[in-house]
Amino acid sequence: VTPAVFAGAADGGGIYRLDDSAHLDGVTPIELRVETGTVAPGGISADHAFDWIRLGVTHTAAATLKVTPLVDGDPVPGAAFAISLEAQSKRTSVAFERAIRASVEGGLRTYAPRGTWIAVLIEGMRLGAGDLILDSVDVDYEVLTPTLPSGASVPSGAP
Amino acid sequence: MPSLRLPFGGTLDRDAGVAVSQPSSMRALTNALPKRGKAEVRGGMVLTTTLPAVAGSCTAVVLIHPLVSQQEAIAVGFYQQDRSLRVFRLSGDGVSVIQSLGVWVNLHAQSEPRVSVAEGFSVVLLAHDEPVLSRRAPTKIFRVFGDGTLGNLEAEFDEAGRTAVYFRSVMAWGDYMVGFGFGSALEDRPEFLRLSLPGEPGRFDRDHYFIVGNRGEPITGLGEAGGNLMVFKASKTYRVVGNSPVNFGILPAYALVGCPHQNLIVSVDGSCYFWSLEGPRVTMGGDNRDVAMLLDLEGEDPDWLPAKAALKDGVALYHLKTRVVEWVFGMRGYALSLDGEGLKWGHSDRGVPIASSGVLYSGGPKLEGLAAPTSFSTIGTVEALSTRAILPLAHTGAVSETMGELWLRAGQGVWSRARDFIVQGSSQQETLTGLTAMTNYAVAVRHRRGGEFPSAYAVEDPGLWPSASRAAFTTLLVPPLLVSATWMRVNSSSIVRLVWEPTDSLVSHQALRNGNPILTLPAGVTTVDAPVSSANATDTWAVRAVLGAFFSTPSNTIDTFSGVAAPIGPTYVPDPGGTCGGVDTVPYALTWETGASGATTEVFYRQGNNATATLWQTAPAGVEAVTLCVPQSDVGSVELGEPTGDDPLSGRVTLRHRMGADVSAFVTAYEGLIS
Repeated sequence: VTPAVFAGAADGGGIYRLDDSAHLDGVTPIELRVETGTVAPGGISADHAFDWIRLGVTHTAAATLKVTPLVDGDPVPGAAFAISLEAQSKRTSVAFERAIRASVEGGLRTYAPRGTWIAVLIEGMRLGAGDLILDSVDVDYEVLTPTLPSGASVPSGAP
Repeated sequence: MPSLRLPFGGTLDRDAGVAVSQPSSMRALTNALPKRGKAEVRGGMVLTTTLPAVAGSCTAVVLIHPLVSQQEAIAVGFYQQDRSLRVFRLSGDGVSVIQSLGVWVNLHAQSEPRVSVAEGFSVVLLAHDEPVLSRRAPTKIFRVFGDGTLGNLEAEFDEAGRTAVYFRSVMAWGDYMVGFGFGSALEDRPEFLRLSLPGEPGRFDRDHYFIVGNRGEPITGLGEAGGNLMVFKASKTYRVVGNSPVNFGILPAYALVGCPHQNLIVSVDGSCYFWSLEGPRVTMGGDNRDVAMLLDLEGEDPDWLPAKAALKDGVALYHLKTRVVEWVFGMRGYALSLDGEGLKWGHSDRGVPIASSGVLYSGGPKLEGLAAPTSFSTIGTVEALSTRAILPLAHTGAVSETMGELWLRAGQGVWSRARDFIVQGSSQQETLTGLTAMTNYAVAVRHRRGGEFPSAYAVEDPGLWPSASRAAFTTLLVPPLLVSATWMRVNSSSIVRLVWEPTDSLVSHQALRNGNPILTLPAGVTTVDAPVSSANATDTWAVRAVLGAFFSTPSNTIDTFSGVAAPIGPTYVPDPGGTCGGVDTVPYALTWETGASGATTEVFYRQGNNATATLWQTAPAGVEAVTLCVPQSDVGSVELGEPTGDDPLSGRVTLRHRMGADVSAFVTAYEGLIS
């Protein structure tokens, strides 16, 4: 016996099978928007330099992804990058590693962004049937100014 | 340089060190589900079929439910054009609509199309989740192994007798079917919870009920948790404990937590997940737990999500493979992953708004333990009437638990499954109803057992089945049988009351007087008072069936005299056993047949030649005999007959009928004249 979850439409007579490998809701693409947890590695008043980001993906579906680092709640200028995945016949794991570099002066100068809070926003969609799993997002960082000791005043500024 | 893994769908444990995370850090997890520390993009929705356009297009599919034993499904569509709820039978893979079970109800203008369903022991109950009893549709019952039609669930809950049941919602619980929100035909009791007899989901005893909480405070939903039946009100919850009428009991469970709608409840593996007025919670039958914390439902609504439909329009569903409970409100879903440790939430941005959900089954044995049949039926000569046809079926090789399917095609249209029946014996008759008069039909029959078919009948196209299992016929318009045509006066009018037996209860009729139609009567009427052509005349009466522009041939005819009929065949004989008051009289028995219902009989006697006939006796209506006391001197000189002017006898007796002011002629035909 094969059980399957079905749904009835609220806007017509359509009956839909909820299919784990399908990449459309009827004819509408499924747009992915994943924002990781927002973390302050060195504590809520620490100052960090964020250097590298590594994204692990397992998939069979073709997909496009856009990865945007967020420091203190804001996208890092010029640091977003796109990933294109080809369809695979069996599950394949791949990793992408990028330096996080904010750019200024038209890209002539880059630097590691500084801040307290780091998160990563991943957007995109599958282009065909199959799996798409975001395995992990890792960030390399350096604590420039550690958090204040207990009892010290905490400046505002966290997003 | 240190490295840190950023989490999906949850917050960091403080034990991770000095790193901290924001409480709302899971807010953006849209169309992906957290699973074992990863984020997996959710699956999509594949359109498998569409409910047919019958009263305009279907507005919404408000229910999908499996018929587990048959690997099929029930779906209910709402059609805004006539506000109808229509019930369909689907294949288990959801690919095709295999039977229309017809219109459940045309909803009240202010009623919403929310329904619930339960199946137990191959019986399906359908209930309309409408809070106001006067707007609620009757609860329907569908027997999987029945005749394939929807019927009203009926029960005798009070002195009103056996009446339709109007449950607000139903649920299968162990050996029982449970329904709530209906007291009886005479009493609105929204806090009533009724249980069926064990193992008999279509039978509800009047005394098997619980009064849940305060009177008048409606029950809103049912769920199952830890073997208990959880009974929800909008902001309270009760728990039914026990497993039989011997030890059933009901206890308050939560004084401040409930669930406002049945469709927001889903039970999974002993846990009951429900969306309360404060958000999602879960119970295993004991305490309930808030699982909404990470959703930040009280916070600012995320602008990247679609608008959220009203709470009453939400749907709770369970994704079997991914072990996710999801509440969908229109196009926005809240998905709770049960796979892994802790609470992991994601959002869904559905491309299609959802009104209902169900888990369907296909690909397995349809009724465990039964092999596919090898039997079949042949169809004899079809007796086609106006709107129905009687099919003589001869069965070959049928064994127990075999069902028959009748498929029908009108003209050159498409085949559809008309109805099911239980195959019994070596032959039987089945009747197709709801046909259109004067129409060509093709009909076909096949056997089903355990959801399997004989190999020659496995395809869903009856045109490819063996020809002996198919037949063709044309519906007719068969005349009715005229039973009686009786003259009488009604409110001083001289009429003839016609009574007939229709051959089809769905057709109209015309009354024919002397071959001419004078009245048209709607379907269901089987008697009429028709005006006569003139007083004391004989009219020839008949009726004929009418359907649209079609007329049947006239029925049998009856000639009726438009007045009071005379008594029939009187006899007049000595009656030695009769009693007369005087010693000089001799009893004679005068008997006759009235033939005129309600008429009194007047007996006249004339003494001597040319004397005036005088009323001797009057017999009440229904009496057909009197004793005449003839003077001893007249014995041998009295005769039964119509008096004449120069009768040589000393007396004659004759009769006539009277109805009010109307009198019949004197009797002109006599039997057994004895002087």
